[in-house]
Amino acid sequence: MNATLHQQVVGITENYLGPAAPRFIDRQIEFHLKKKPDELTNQDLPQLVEWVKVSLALLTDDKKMVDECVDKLGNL
Amino acid sequence: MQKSGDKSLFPYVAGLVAAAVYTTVSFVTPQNPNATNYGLSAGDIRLLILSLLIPIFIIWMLAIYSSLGVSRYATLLRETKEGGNFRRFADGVLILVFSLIVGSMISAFNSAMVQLGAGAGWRILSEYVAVFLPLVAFFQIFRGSQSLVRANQHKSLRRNRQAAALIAVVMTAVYALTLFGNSYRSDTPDINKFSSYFLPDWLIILTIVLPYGITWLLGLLATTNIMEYRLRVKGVIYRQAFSSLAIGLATVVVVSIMGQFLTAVGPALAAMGLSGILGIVYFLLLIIAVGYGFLARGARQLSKIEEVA
Repeated sequence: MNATLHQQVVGITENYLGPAAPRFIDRQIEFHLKKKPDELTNQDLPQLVEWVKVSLALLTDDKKMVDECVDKLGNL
Repeated sequence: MQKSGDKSLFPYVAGLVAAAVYTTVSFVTPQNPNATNYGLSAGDIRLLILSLLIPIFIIWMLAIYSSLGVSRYATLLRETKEGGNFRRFADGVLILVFSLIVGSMISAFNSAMVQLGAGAGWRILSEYVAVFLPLVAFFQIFRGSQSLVRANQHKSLRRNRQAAALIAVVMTAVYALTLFGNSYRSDTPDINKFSSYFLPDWLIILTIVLPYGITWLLGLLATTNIMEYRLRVKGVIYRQAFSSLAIGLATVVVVSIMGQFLTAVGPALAAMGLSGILGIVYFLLLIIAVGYGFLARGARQLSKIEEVA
């Protein structure tokens, strides 16, 4: 179940970060949530989405794209 | 939010030292007496040299910056499955930058070596450096690019590879025809007047024409692979960053091939006159600067994606 959530998060992020997505998401989880990626739970999702939003905004000026990604993650 | 990286100044200092030596040698060495055939005074020639040295040094610094950027990105990926590919790219770009600087340094000593009576030996060394360092560089870049498209079975990739191979064969044939049309290719009555390889025909074919052809083939195939990967890879932000890297790498590879090709058929271009030749040189310098600029930008953006947390 947890692994599936992690895979879903990575799957959505891949649309924006391609092959770098798994590493990006794992870094967010380990650095900000202080967890291993396969320990991700639904309760962690709101906090993770916030960090993804902040980090993606550092990589692109396209606010619409960031919001689109965040919306998709928020709907998981 | 972002990790800071090691930023060694050593490569830049080495580049500056090379630039200082190159400038000194260019101005101190007596000029080739045939340079005045273009109606230029000694002062004009020095101004001309200066007008070439400045953009060349800017390109050296940009090339070093780009190479360090690609290397840094490869280091960030070292524990991933793509890490090996980008390490090969980084090594290839590093060797290409090294050959750019070392090749220029060696040619700066041409006149001095002729004065010392070692012109023929120096010319052979200069030619082999120009042939074999880029061959190794393009081989590494090609290896890195092959892994990027390993799973790609699109018809367009096969078609583009065939076109790249055809272009390389045509370029090699044109080069061979130009070279064998030069009756002074193996020896010259006046080294200042007529360029020569100082090698027998069989060695010219085996160690000059063939390696050049292979280098051009590897470079064009690598460019095809990189552009194809760029078209197919997933991820809007990643693709934008990779685009800069791909455009930069492809430009650097193509311009390096053009530069090699023009140097190789150089004597045949003499009929264009000084302004024509200078026009081509300035154009190539501009394009190569743009290429290294894109390469640096792409490497920086990709590194940022790997570092942001």
